Amino acid sequence: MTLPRQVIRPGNPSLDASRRANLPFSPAVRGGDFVFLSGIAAIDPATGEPVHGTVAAETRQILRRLDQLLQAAGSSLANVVKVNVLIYSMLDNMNSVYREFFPTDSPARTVCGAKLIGGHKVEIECVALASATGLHPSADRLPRNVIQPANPKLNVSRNANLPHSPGIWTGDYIFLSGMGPVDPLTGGRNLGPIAEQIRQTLRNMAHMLESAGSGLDRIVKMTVVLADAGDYDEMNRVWREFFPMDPPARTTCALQLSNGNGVEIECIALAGKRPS
Amino acid sequence: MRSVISAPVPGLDLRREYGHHQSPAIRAGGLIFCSGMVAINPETGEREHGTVTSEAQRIFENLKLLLESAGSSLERIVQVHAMIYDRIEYDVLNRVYRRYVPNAPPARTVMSVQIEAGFKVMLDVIVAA
Repeated sequence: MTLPRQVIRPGNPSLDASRRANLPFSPAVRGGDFVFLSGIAAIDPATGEPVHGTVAAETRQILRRLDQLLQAAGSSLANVVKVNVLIYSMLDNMNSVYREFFPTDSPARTVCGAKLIGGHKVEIECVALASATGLHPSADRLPRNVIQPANPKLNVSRNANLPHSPGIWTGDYIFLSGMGPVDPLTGGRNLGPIAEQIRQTLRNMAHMLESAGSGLDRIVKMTVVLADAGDYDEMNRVWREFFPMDPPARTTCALQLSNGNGVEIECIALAGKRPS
Repeated sequence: MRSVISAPVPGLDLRREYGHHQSPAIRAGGLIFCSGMVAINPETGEREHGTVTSEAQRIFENLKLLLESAGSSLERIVQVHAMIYDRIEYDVLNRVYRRYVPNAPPARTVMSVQIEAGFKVMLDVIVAA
């Protein structure tokens, strides 16, 4: 049985910043027990323009829209299980506003300081239960299996003896490790123009997922790390080639990368078939 | 079902210790989502700044406490965002990391970010319950 994957496209344009700006990611994607939201930054609900304010003001604006988006997806703030906050400086904080939105039994949370795209001070993404009653009762102990690429040259962790697996399949989901522009013939790095690096990485990701019976069209959430925030537009151009319709939810930030990589991409995908 | 996993020892309750508005972990849909873990003394809640090695060790020990209290374990981790203050310490992180997840390690992405209170390491994990 293949689980349905549903892109959430709310009618309210302020909740769908990506459509207004023609950006190739979906505001939220639902599949399995969870709904995955893209990173949300502060925008003007009327015009879709970025809004730059204090951390408190941006956070309030973001969490209001996050609430509305969850409702559009049939979920709610009370169903949020994990929140990731990116903030421009760890010397600032958004706790006073954050508290208003999650008064009790607050979600697990990770806050880290990073350079944000578009000059925003805060960006927030989350994972929520799609509904209060999930597919899996809490008592379930799901199998956990390592995923390997069919092409051994793309098995970076094994070839470089690194302590991670290419991917892990548990329950309805496949979690892939961060991937870079590795040449499938040599196993070396293809450090060409950024567009080509991104294409190579996405082709490798497709291979990895297909090796496990899944595929790019089953991805629910992606996290992209660019070495240079200036490559954002170029990334979007390539994204449209690979995800012409119903693209995954996505969060992008700019961080230091090693080995001269211009990009690193990880994803969560729905497994192709549900393991028995 | 969504349920809060509370801190198995007082020091790991960062809401109590530092006012962080978060639960240590949430269990839902067969998975456990943990809040970002930093090097905290599990008994006293005191921050234990150190090297990448000592911080990562403390984090894994705390994670073990937390996951085992919820009926899971380090072997059941599926995804890790390993945050370090500088990628120059990538190899140092790998060396200590390997000891705690020696077989079939989790999927992982290493990110160099600014971490709260000047810590050098933070682990953000999703675990099979």
